[in-house]
Amino acid sequence: MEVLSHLGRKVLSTETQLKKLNSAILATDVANSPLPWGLVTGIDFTDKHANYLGLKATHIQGKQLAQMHTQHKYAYVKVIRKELQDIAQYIKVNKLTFY
Amino acid sequence: MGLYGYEVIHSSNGIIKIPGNNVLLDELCVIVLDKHAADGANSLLNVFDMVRLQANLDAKRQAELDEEQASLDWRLVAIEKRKELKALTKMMNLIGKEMLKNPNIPPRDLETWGFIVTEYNQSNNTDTAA
Repeated sequence: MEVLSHLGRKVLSTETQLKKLNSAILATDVANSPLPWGLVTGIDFTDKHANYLGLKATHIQGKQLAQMHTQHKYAYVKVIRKELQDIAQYIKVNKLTFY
Repeated sequence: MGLYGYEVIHSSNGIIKIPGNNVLLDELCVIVLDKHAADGANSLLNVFDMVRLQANLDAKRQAELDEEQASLDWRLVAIEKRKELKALTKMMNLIGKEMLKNPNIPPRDLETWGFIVTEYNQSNNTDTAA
C-alpha cells in the first residue's frame, strides 16, 4: 500500500482504490470536461486499467488450465499405478521364483 | 520381478514395492514395457493390454508437458500483471498528488475518486498523565 502525503494528509491506494478511480474516470465525460490533472490523463489510466484487468483474467485462466493438466496427470498416474500393481501380482502368482 | 524392474522387499515376505514417486513410476513402466517388447510372443504379460499401458504412459507424459507449458505461461502473465499494477499505482499516486495540491479540490472530494484521505497530526507533543 502506498501513501501519499501533502499538507498533513495521506492518500492510500490499493487495488480496490484503483478500481474505484477507474470507475470514477469512466463516469466522467473526459472529452468535454478535462480531468483536473495533467501528468496522467484519464484515458491513459483507464486504458492501462483495462489492460491490467485483461492480464488478471488471463492469469487466472492460465492457472486454472495448469491445474486441469495437473489433475489429468495424476489421473493417468493412478491408472498406471493400478496396471503395474496388477501386472506385479500376476507375475508373482505365475512365477515361482519371482524375486 | 527384478527383470521387470519391480523392487521386492525380501524382509517383508516378498512385498512388491510400487514407486510413489512419479519419475520412478515412469521408469518402472518403461522397464515393464521394454521387457514385454523384448519377450515378444513369449511374453508373460500378453494377457494384459500393454498397448493401453503404453497409451496411458504417453498421455501422462503429454499432460506433464502441457502442465509445464501452462505453468510457464501463467507465470509470464503474472510478471506482466505485476508490472501493470505497479504502473497503475504510480499513475494513481500522480493523480492523487495533483489533486491534493489543487486548492480548488477539497481533500474530502478525493474520496469520490476512489482515494482514501486520512488526516494526521504532525506534532510530536504528547500529553502525560500527572
